[in-house]
Amino acid sequence: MADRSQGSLVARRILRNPIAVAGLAIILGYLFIAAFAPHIAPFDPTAQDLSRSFAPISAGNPMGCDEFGRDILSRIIFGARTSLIIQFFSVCIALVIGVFLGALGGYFGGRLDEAIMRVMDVLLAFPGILLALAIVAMLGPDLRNLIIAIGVYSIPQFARITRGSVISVRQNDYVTAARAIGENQSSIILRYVLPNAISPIIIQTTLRMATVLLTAAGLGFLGLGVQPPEPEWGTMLSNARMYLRSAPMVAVFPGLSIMLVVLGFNFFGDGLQDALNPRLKE
Amino acid sequence: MGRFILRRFAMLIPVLVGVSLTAFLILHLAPGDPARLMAGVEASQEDVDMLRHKFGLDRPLPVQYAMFVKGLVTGELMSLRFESPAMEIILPKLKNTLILACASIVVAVVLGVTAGVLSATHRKSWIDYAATILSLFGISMPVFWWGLLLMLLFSVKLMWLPSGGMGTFRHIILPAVVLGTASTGIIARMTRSSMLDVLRQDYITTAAAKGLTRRLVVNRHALRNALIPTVTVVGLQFGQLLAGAVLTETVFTWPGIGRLLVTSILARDLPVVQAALVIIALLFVFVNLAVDILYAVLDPRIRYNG
Amino acid sequence: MTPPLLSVSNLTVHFHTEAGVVRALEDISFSIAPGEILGLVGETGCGKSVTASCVMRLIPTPPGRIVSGEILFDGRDILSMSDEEVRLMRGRDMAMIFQDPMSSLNPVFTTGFQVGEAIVTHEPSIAREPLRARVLDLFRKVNIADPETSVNRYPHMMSGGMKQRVMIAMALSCGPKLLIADEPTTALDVSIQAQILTLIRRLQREEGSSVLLISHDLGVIASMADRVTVMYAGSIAETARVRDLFDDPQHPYTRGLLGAIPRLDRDQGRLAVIPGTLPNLMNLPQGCKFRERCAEALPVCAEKRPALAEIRPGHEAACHARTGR
Ligand SMILES: Nc1ncnc2c1ncn2[C@@H]1O[C@H](COP(=O)(O)OP(=O)(O)O)[C@@H](O)[C@H]1O
Ligand SMILES: [Mg+2]
Repeated sequence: MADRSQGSLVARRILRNPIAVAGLAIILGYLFIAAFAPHIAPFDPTAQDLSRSFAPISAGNPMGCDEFGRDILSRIIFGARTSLIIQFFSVCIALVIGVFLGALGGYFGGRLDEAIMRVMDVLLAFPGILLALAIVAMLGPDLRNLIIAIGVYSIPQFARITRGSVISVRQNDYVTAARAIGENQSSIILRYVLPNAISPIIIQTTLRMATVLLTAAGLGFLGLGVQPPEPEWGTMLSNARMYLRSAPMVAVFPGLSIMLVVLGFNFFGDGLQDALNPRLKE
Repeated sequence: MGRFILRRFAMLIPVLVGVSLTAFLILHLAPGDPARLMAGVEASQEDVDMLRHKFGLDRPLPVQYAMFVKGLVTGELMSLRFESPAMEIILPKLKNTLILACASIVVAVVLGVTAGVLSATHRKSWIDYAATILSLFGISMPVFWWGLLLMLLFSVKLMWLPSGGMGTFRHIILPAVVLGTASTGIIARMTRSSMLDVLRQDYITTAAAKGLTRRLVVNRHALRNALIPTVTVVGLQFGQLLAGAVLTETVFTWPGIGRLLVTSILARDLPVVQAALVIIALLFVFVNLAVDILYAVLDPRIRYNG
Repeated sequence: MTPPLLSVSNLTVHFHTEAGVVRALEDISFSIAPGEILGLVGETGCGKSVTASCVMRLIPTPPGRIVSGEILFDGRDILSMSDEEVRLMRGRDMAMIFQDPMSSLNPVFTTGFQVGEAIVTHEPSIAREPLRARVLDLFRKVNIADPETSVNRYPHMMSGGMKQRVMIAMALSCGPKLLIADEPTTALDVSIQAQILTLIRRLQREEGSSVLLISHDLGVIASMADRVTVMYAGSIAETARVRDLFDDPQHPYTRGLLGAIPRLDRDQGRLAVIPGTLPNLMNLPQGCKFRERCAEALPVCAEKRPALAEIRPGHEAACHARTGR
């Protein structure tokens, strides 16, 4: 079971891994910007000023202005907030439902497990962004529907991972012992099984934060994400694309932001994987 | 072996039913009136009712589902936009997407496996760190933005490659590289970790103790085992490529199924959307089946016990 | 006296791990004469496998590091050879059998292929048919039932005992002068153990090769070896001819080990157990490593690590109480 000394060992391993530290720094910076967006952003992200349309990079507008003369830096900063909201809520939905279904199937096995896994197989048969795309197409594009769509499409990953580790933990002696002394099922799952399945779930959560952001931005790029004038990085890119030849810089910053944040979560998740999986370390 | 394959096929049936049902339901459980959605807001109530009747939307859901499946199988499912069967629109586009996806998977497998093997055999060297960081960059790259950047550089600035469309070999270079970037990273990471795992095994020491060269130990004894899990990843990546094509094709105006899907969603051409979803899912499921079989061919422990 | 086939002197090996430096071997010296079986005994973790890997130069570096020492094989220093020279020697001049036959064979190749590969490596020009004949011959020699079909089988289709026979066939394929057997029977059923040991013994007589037989079981050593080396926590405690060691053990650790073997020819009330635990190889005490568990410890034992010294011809021990210093 993950006790304190193991926690500090994991922390030490992460801090000794430059890639993981870089990831952590990016994530913390991102959280900070998202949290304090109104205090950091120099302008209102939706304030238009057509006279400043495509204004170049300057001291006043460090990233220039977009087609409506809105300050790109301010839109990027508020975009961080939008991204974080999407990431947080969609991963939460997937985490709660996925872990619940996975633990249920993995622990009880049999018909129930079979049924849950077949449903997951069906969801997984729509690869990548497609399931989210279809759900958004059905519900209509807005922030709430985007979160639902991305949340639903992430459920199978959590269900599978939880199920896998629950099955391997279930066979351990202490679980058998707890069963033998007649402890009740849900308390066995919560007290013994899940804590031991936690490492892969944590890793998956971190990596999923990255995937989810890419998907949200991708849907935004296709015009099926958060709708303008709400600042969202993918949607910003989608608009910038139309002026690619005349104002290429407008397309650079939103994409860079997406990449940086995704990179942060992937770097950190990769370090976490190494730190929680000491088998790979000598 | 034969029984193994048969069993896998049997397991597909519930998935296939589920896939068609999902594609059907997703677009029929939408809030609002599907007939109104199809007709558009400006249409008169009579037009909407006519549409509803024409497409059987006034029938019970199970009947509609049966009609949908029948339409899929017989190819009679009609597009709303083009007045022609959905399949006739989809299949040529599917071919284009497959060309793109295959080109990408070749790029991804060649680069990814090479990088992963080098990373593992040169563990903790600059090669390993460079490959790791590049892979993570590849995985983190937003496809659409990466596409725009490369297009800016190679088409707009340098004018070496066309910025879109399909035709010559030069047209496929940029989209294939862009689409394959993330998969390259994932395959490299996977190959690295399974290779490290294999290199720790006792049979690798046995091979070295026989006097085999390092090269043979790695390329024959280790790689063969390390590729077994990589094959599964390649199968999954093929699905990711089909999905990623939605974005790549939009950037490079590649006339594939991904772009068709997006334009059909925007035009509310529901039958085409549904059919395209089912076709992609089917393709993905069959590729995974093929991967399972290949897996068994590579691993005698499964081949002889399955 | 003929020069030894293998002579290891003052070998020291460290492993640099995340948790610290593991002093796996410290100042190890021993030798093996041509045609001799030397037994190497000691508790799990005392450095037997590391010793064997050093002789084949199969220690992974990093994390391992050969700090000092010399390993002479047939008069040549293995530690200063080029990688290519060592490679050509592995399998041809010295070969190894490992503890766990389940994991020592590659699951994706047939056993026949894996044995044949060892031959091809050292005789690249051998043709298909003679190669097949050689492999079949080897399979017969190690008593594998139905060699014709067995060569085409994958490892997972065979029992542990059969796999170990395949490993032995592989090791013998090029007629090595030295065979290293690292706990060759530990992972096998008791009923199979004796068969494998008999097989090794028989083949050793037929081929006249030397054997380094590693075991943590003194019974196995007693029935197989000519001489024995006892290891404790990365050092050598005692080396002697088998008879001498069993009749007149010198090191208190050896005595403890022998006390722990039930014997029929002596009246013993109960099994002796050596009190205490193995020292941590990352944090070794000063002086003798066995001192804390030793009933005969002297004041000097806390200060100086005892060196291996000859007690009588052919019998060495590393103990202050014996050497009188
Ligand atoms: N690759 C390695 N990395 C770190 N420590 C090692 C490694 N190989 C062996 N050791 C350490 O060396 C010591 C001796 O191990 P070994 O020779 O395998 O013991 P045994 O006598 O049981 O064969 C052990 O304490 C072990 O932890
Ligand atoms: Mg050992």
